[in-house]
Amino acid sequence: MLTNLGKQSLSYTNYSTRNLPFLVSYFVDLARYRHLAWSLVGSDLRARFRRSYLGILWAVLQPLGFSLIVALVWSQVFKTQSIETFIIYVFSGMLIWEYFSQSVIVSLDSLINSAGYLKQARIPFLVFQMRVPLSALVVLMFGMIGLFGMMAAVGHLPPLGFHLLLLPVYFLMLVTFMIPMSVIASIVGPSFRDSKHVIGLLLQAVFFVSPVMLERGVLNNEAIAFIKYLNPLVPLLDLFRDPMLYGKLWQAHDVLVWLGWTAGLWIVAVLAAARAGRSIIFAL
Amino acid sequence: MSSPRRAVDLKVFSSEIQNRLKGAERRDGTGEDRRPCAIEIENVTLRYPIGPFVRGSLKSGLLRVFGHKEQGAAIQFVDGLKDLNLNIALGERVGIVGRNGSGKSTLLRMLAGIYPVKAGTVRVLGQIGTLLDIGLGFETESTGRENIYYRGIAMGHSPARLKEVEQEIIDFADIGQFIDLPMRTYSAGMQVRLGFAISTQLSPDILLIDEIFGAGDALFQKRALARIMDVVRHAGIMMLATHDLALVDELCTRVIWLDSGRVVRDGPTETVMPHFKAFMRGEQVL
Repeated sequence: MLTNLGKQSLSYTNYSTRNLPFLVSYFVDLARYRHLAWSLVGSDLRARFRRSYLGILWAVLQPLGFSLIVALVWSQVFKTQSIETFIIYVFSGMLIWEYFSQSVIVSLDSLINSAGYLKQARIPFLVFQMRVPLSALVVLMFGMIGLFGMMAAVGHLPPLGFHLLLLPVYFLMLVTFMIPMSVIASIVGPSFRDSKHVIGLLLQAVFFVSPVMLERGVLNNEAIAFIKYLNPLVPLLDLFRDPMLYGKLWQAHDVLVWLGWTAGLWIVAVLAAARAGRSIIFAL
Repeated sequence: MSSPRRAVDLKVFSSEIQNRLKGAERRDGTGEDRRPCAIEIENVTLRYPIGPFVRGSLKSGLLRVFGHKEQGAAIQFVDGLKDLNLNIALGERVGIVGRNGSGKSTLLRMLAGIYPVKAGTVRVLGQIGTLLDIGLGFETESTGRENIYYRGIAMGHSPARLKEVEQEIIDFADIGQFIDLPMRTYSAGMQVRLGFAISTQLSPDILLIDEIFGAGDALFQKRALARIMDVVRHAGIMMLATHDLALVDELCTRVIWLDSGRVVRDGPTETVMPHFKAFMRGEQVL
């Protein structure tokens, strides 16, 4: 597959620019177009929030509203936890879930929405593929402010300690996981236009087997314990909550599952990008 | 404009092109330094896939299950360009003519490196600037001023360089206070004017233009034409795909007549155009 792409890029050469092997040029191009990537992230945020009265506040209000609703209902039904800790639990889960699901859904259309640029100049696709997880990350950061505010309001500030240093590492790991996922989605989206509906359904299924509002202890039940090792959302949520909510260090199995998924996604993403090459342009 | 460019080994190009580029970097008649630029297309075939995008629909799949036979063999692809060979070198202003769907736009997009080729080789020397679909590729929630940067950077210019020419672009587009309003508030004509101003502000080595004179009011069209002439003077190579035959007569030194992705005739404007005009009047067959 890589040789196929090699052939494709060799058939068009502009000798006034440097010509590097495919994988190297992929990242060198990204460095060249970093201004565009960042400007587009800014443009995305404006497009999402500019015309609304509360603007970026919605990045906080939406997961907040959802957690309030869920917490109120569930605390009535189950009466197991104190409502404050449950709200924080659901809020923290929703932030990560929204990041993941929004990135996947928007990525399906990321190249289609960028057709205007891609049909005007030879711009690396990766700029537009990275745009989605990066924009979502900025929204997530605003959500983090909301989470801190919420925790302060109910008197459960994150326990201080060295484990908090894991948080920046976590966000790096989250983006490292999400970028190849977005690349894959951006290639699948235009190639199979049905995928939007299928993936919408899939996401709903994943939501119900992820500890977003589900108590994470439930997954220790032997009958469904395998989900812990298959569902990438389990480590993404655990690795976030351990330092943030419980003042704990990470557990090995979470890190391993994250590593397995991330490595797998990168391999698939590179192969898919190499195979598709620039010919996705015909499907936009 | 004369940013440093790395030394290029011209040996990859054919001897014809090499000969024509010899001494190109010396001062030419206009008193300007010209960097060598060239385009060489060898046996190029460009194929649009159609198959998976039509056949793959769920509906046709279901119908097949119930024994429905699709009429005729499904078309899998269309050849946009077929076995094309072209040499274009510094100083040429090429008009591309042909009926609708003859491959004019496809050829330009292929040269810009936007469409991948199925077979053959494309060798290009020189920084490429495009004027294709001027209305496309704007962030509608961002202001015109912001879009100058998005588009300029997408074309390969640095933010610093764009800052220098920002005011000139705004002046030429002549859209007044709208420049600081979101682009969704613009009329179609204003969008085209801004797009045109951005695309033509910084002259490229190779300029590819696709039928851009249809938009804007009469006054703007006149200024646009003057500006195009100016950019063309600075560009090393200009290629223009158009149905405006008078424009071809006026601007171009060479004409390539395409039909169904193949070259029908290729030569000096005064030799090719009479044949093409006769063909368009129905007085001559291919």
